[in-house]
Amino acid sequence: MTAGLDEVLVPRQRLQICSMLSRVSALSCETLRDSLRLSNSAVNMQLRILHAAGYVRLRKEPFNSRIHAWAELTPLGRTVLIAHLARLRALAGA
Amino acid sequence: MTKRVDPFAAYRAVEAATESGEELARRSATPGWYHPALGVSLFLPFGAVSLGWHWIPYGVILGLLVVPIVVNMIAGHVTGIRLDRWSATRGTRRIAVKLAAVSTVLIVVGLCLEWGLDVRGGAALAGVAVLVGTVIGGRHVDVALTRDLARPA
Repeated sequence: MTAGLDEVLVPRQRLQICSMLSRVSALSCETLRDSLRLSNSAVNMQLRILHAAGYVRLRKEPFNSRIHAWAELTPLGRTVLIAHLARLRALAGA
Repeated sequence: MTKRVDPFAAYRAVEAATESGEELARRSATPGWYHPALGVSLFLPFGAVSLGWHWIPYGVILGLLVVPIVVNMIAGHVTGIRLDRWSATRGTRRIAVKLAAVSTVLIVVGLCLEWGLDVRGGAALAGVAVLVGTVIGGRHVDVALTRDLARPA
């Protein structure tokens, strides 16, 4: 059953990415990759899906002669994540 | 295709979200130079008062604006985590409010010493106390931040 759950956040990696982003202002994509033990391409793919859904904002910034990609949760993403987690908790407690 | 989420899968998903917070907390360690650098930046306005009137604007702009922004920006890039550590969680905000209260008292004491009692270097002395307070408070902020980030979302 998926009633009340957000389809975009059902895959665990996307839920974890949004959960991590909800606790900070922004995370570098390298930190997300290392924390979730994923490949660069896997993180980028999940971020692109979250970005397309409007849940994550992506930004590239130059620092120390390199371009660093940063991700941050949008207000919509935060709202959806809170509702999704509440629904998951309700399901888990059922 | 719609995936089914049974109660066990929902439980595992909530666990995964919580674990990601714990992982983030493990990575949130502040670089060793971060709090001393913030302390030095807060010392600058105090030091400027002791140096003389014309130094005060430089001390205030550098110490309360430029240096904290640069320090936070570098810390963000070094750790890969961008957040205002002193106001990120309820626990860290509580420490920040206490330090702000102590710093306010120290500002008044420093200015009274420097301008009221004409004690040369009185404001700088108060600035050193703020610097030490920032470093000690920063250690407590790190502990509170690690604890709070690991909590379930």
